[in-house]
Amino acid sequence: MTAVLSLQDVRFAWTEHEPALLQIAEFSVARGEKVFLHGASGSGKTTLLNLCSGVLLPQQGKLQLLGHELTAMSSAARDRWRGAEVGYIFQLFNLLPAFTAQENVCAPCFFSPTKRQRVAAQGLSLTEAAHQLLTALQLDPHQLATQPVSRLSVGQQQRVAAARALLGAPPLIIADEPTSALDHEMREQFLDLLFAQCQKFNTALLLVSHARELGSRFDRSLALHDLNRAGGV
Amino acid sequence: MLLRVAWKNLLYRRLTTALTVVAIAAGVALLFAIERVRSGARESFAATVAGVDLIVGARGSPINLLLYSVFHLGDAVNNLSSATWQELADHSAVKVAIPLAMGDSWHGHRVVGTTTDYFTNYRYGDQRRLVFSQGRAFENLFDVVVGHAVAQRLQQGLGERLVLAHGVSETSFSVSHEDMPFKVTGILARTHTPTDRALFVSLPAITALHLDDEQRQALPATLPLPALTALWLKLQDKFTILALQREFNTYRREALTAIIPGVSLQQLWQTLGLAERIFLLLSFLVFGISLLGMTVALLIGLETRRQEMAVLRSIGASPRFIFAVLIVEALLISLAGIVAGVALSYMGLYACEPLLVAKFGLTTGLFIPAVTELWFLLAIVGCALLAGCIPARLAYRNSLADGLAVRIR
Repeated sequence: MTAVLSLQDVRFAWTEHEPALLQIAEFSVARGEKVFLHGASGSGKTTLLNLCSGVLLPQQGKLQLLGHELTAMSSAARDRWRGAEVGYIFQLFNLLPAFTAQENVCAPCFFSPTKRQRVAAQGLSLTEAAHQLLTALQLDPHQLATQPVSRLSVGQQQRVAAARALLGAPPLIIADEPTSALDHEMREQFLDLLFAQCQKFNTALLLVSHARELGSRFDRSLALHDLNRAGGV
Repeated sequence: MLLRVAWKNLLYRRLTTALTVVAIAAGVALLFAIERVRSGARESFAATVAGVDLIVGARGSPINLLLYSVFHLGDAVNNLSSATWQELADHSAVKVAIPLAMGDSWHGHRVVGTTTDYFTNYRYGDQRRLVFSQGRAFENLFDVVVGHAVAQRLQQGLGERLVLAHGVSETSFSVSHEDMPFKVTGILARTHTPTDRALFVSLPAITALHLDDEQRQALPATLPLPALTALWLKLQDKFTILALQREFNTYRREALTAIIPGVSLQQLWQTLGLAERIFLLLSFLVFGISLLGMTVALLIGLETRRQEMAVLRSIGASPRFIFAVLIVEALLISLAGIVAGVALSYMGLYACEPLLVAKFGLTTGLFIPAVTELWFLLAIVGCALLAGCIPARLAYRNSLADGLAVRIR
């Protein structure tokens, strides 16, 4: 399988004089693969996701996204690359409060011509693609077209965030504790919908959470402390 | 996208945005109104007298001579003899000598004794002539011509009989010449100069006003000329101004002071200009404080917007984009404030213009933005951009440090 994301001999510390927070010999995510990474709070999960999305750079090692070395790119190029190839879901407060739900879903396409082209290749307009995704995630796109995001429930907000991450079919979706604010039933429903959409677009999913019971639903489940030789914070 | 994000953010925080815009608008309105009144005052001031090359009065302070002979403020310490007027009028270098005799009033308005040369030779503003809106110049002894502002206070207008008083206060306790009412024969069109607030009679009329009761019963056919307050001289050749000023300042027959109106106006403006500069400084301070308000409002908003910045980063926005969003927000707020402020200042000046004209003879030239004002606007926008750089820079640093996860620092 082609690796969407690949880390080799990566070392990261906040400053050069501090001990390493992350030291990872090898880690990769294949195209269409669903990987679950669990770890205790403060173990460096979010830092690892910041590395995987190219916001942070390691002091040493190789960090590749779709075969492109992120450490060799300029900051602006990494931002563009992330905008085109990655969809991101936060734990909470995922949405831009000034925009409607539909505008939130379409927002990444304004930063990424690649995502716009992928939507166009499906023979859809941005609005149509957003409507399809929102419907697939069991939301009413017509109601959401004008509704301020502040009126959405947490569960609805997470699904809008998932639709935004999926629009433009990025090869990788990174999700940082996306279900921690949801109850059990909502969590299961959210994961069902997310998996279905990832499968549809052959999108890889890297989801981190401290709730290790979620792992059984993924292709691969890893503990960060097994991956990280630095041994935590 | 940049403009769209900034615009949506401002709409979302509409209360804070509106309050910030109002604060900036108030600062800009004050700044603009003061600048308008200031330049209007300067222009009205400089336009008070034109076409007069020299003003001659009894020996005394040049500024005082300018104040009483042009602005009708204060009184002359000494008078000139009418013989000096005749002599100066006959001087080969002098084209016209307009005599002015002051000291009487009507409801606080100055009565100026002069000749009809005043109406034909006086110029104001851009060499504009006096025009009679009604009637004509005085011909008879008890004819009076009134300025525009005085005409507003008349009950009947042309033909009305006015009783002039000695002294210049609004309610004169001095002698009223009730037995010698003057008939209004002419009304001058508005000039926005002290002429609007004055009444004009012939020189013999001034003499007649000061005759005792007995003399008034039997007025002689020819009255002697009164003592004069000042002379306005128009010269044959402007190149002789300095030579003539020196000549008249060393005049042997009578101690005289000759001033060049333009030079003295400039000196007087420099004296009075301190107040207007202080006003301008204060309005700059008000504007500065309103800009500070905008910066503070944006800075306070930043803390609550850090997660929003992280979301923007996650969808591909660079820290530079986030910097630009904040700059555009500051720009939009300041532009809205500037437009509202300029509109507010125009509306305020439009509403106050009748009062400014009536009370101070000030015209503000509404709706004709001066080039300096356009520079002013650019400077204001520049200041707003600089002020916007502070929160923008902080947002840039936050978004670099936070990345996709807001960190407590």
